[in-house]
Amino acid sequence: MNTQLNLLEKQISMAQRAHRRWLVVATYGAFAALIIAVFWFSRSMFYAWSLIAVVAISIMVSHLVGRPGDASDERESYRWDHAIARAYPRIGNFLVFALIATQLQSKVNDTAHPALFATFL
Amino acid sequence: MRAELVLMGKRLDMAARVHRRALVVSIYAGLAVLMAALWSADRWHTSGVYMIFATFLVNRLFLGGYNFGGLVKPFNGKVPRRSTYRETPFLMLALRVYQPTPDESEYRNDEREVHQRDRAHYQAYQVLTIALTVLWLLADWKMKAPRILAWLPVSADVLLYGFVLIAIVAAVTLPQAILLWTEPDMEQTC
Repeated sequence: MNTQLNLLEKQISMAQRAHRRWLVVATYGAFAALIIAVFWFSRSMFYAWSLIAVVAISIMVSHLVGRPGDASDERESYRWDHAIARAYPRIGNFLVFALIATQLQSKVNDTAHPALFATFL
Repeated sequence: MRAELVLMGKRLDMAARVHRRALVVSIYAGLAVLMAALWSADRWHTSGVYMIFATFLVNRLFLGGYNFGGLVKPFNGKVPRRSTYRETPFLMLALRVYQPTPDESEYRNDEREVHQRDRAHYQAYQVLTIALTVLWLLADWKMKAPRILAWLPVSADVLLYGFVLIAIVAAVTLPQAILLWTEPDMEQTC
């Protein structure tokens, strides 16, 4: 992991954990804002620009953290494995939400939505 | 990881890697057949959710990992809930459904097993990333360019639902399958 972040030719120190945590919060905040904005404006050009912004933020963060394939020693590669093992169940939960979300309009599966979603929508 | 599987009172030797690989292939073939059968039954209209129940049953009986009971030890390393009984439940004994408290070695992962678990999750994550990309593409085409999917014999909604189901099945079973597939032959203890 690098300890400095290059942002618009400015070097930001990320050696402190508090700084890195702020970066994580800011990154997810930016993603959330973009997703909400895409839904709000619902314009294809805005959607395209948001995608570019998401990719740009991801590249910026990956410059700081590196990539799993670039792990220089066993400790670092183990940390990658462990981090992904911790994140993995959350992705599974999101997939279940995605399954439910696909049924909000399409009604392929009848067991997923009748009274439950009618209450909230 | 356990070296034998108890199925309907019969002990199956799983020390050899070839046996475990055969099990993994049969499980995925079985799940594929079940998914096709549910599709032909009612186009997943009410039966789609059964795929998820079937996946958890497969974990409980064969794979383990996210459920206690299969070949792979629980990933969280915690005692299964059933072992919290303070006294022996005689009714459960009489009904022959009581399972005694498992030994700590049956659910606690040692350092090597934790490392293997993390590695398997990392490998499964690569597959899941591809699945998520496919899902995103499908959802995007469905919303923005439905003509791309117009040639398909099924609707985009059904396709999306099917892919999300497959992604969930893969997410819940893949780390255990990778562990069973890659672990070399175990030594015979007796």
